[in-house]
Amino acid sequence: MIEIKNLHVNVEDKEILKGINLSIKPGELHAIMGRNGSGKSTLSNVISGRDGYTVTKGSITWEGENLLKMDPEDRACAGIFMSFQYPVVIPGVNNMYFLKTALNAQRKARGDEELDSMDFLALIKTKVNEVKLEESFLHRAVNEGFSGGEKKRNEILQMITLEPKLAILDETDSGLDIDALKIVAEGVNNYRSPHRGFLVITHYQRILNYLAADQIHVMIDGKIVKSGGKDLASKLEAEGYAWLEKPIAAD
Amino acid sequence: MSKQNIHQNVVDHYSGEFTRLYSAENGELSARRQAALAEFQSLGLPTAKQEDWRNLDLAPLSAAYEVALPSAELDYFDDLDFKYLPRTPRLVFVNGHFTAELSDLSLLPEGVTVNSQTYLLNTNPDQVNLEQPTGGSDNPFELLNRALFNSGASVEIAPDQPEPVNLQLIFITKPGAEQQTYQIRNLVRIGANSRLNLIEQYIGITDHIYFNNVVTDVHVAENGSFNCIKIQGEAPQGVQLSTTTIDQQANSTSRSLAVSLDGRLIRNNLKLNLLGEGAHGELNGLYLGRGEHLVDNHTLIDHAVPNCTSAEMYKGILDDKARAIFNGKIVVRPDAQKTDANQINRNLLLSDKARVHTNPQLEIYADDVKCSHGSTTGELNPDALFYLQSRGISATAAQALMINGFANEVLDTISDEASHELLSNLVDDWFNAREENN
Repeated sequence: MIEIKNLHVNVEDKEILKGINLSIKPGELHAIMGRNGSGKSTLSNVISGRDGYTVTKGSITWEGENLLKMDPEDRACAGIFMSFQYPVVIPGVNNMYFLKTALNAQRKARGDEELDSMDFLALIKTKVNEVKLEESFLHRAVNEGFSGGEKKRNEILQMITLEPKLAILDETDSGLDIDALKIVAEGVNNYRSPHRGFLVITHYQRILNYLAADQIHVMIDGKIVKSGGKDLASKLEAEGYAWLEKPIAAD
Repeated sequence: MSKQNIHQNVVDHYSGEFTRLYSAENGELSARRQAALAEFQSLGLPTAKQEDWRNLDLAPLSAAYEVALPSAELDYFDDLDFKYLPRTPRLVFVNGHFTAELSDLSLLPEGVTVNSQTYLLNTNPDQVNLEQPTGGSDNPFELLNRALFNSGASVEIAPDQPEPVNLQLIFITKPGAEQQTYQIRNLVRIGANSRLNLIEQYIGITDHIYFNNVVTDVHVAENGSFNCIKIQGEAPQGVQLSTTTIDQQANSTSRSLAVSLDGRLIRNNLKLNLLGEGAHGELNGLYLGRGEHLVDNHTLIDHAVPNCTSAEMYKGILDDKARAIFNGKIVVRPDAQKTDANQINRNLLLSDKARVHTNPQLEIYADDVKCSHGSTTGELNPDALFYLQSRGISATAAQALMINGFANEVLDTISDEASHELLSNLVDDWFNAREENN
């Protein structure tokens, strides 16, 4: 569904991504691991369409179309979702109203009928229970006064409400205690389907204990230096990244 | 002609108006009017050099307006279309004239006395309460109003009313003569243990230049409560200068919200006097500016006695070349220990030509107090915009959502559902007009 080819990206004239190749098919869960500053978040931001990133070379194709030409809202309506590493507080904007506006914008774009308030309320009540947030969070301003874990669960709430085709989790596990981590992982596992892909970006191997990754990629200095299965994650956990930073050292 | 000469001419003009209107009167009221006029004459019109009037374009306030006389002669009733609360008692004034046909006092409970000031002036002038605001007045427009006023409402609530009283005062300006001024003076007295929810609404439906000079004096007795929403929806060429003084006795509460929607120039002087221990006062404001409009809020909270609390939140949204001034002063007097006062002013600029002057002033003469203030001015947060867009919401809709959200923080201080809806609708009208223009 998403095909990234030889992607080079600059931020303020500094090259951050130096030729990324990645292809995710429906049903697959890919994980990208890497240290801070390796370019992991740059990749997720470029896929979701944030300003401030210049693609100098390469391409991202989404279901056969040039993703880089699409506005962020059009990418979302086409089925791409990113769980933010740092969810933004939006003062005065009611969380439930925001979710309803977003869902209906996406439904409208796909030619589906918009949900009225009653139908939406019924839907969101079941979803909010799934991520184990109190219903009162729906009536607060978006992310305002939410703890770190609540913000991340609110991201997962958005994911399971919007039901994207590709969900990118940008360090969703960072700063979570084990219970919150399990809720996030459960949200992902329950929503895995043959039609949906996942890209999990993480600093730690920990979340991969709860998620069955089809492929794990290691990113160092803007490049994917190694790809493999679950064993790779365990090896990284035990040995760190250093053995990958010396390209001469044999596997 | 020098500025001073122009100003002298305008002072002379109003002195002439006084002679035209009131020279034949005598008695206590007439003497008080005379005294106020004399003070106005010696004080003169404000100049931009005076601290309280800085950054303000004084020209719209300093023109020679003709004082309008409340009169039933105009045809008031053709397609007047405005938003209000249909089930809440209301007094409606059109060009200063109390209009019984548009008013509805049928649901007003016992224990409440409301009158038009015009009626009181005509029937019982010596009974008209014409005190100066607590702390005196150095505001020439309050003095001018005291000398000339002929319109407004008098509201008195007897002590110990079991239910809160709801009331709307609606002032409509319709096409009349060119360049008129309406001198409106409202008096509100809330007896001990009684509560009033008041909406004071101004609606301009005219292309004419006019000047509403409004004075509102509010007295809240012990343990009383005053909830007020002032809605300023003047016509694009309308000018309003509003001087409000709220006096609070012990253990009383007040919450005032000033929503400025439209008008070429709006200047609010709002003074809260916390005079009795245990009083709590809140001042909130939302000002919206577009075109070349100017909104100026000068607030003063005077903590005169110990153990009082106050909270203030003013937010502004400014588009085009609009300008706003926020000057929030808090005085904590030497006796006012255990004062808790906080103030916040936030501004959202939707255009790079919009401007805000914000100036918090704390004067604290007591040592055991908690006071805080803060102000911010900025554009829409691009990270938040992206966050909304990344969920499928278009850039335009995301902006509207965020602007509304910014305003909601103030509107959400309104606890009454019907009033909240009325204000949301009025603010929506403002946003919709903006989107149509863009």
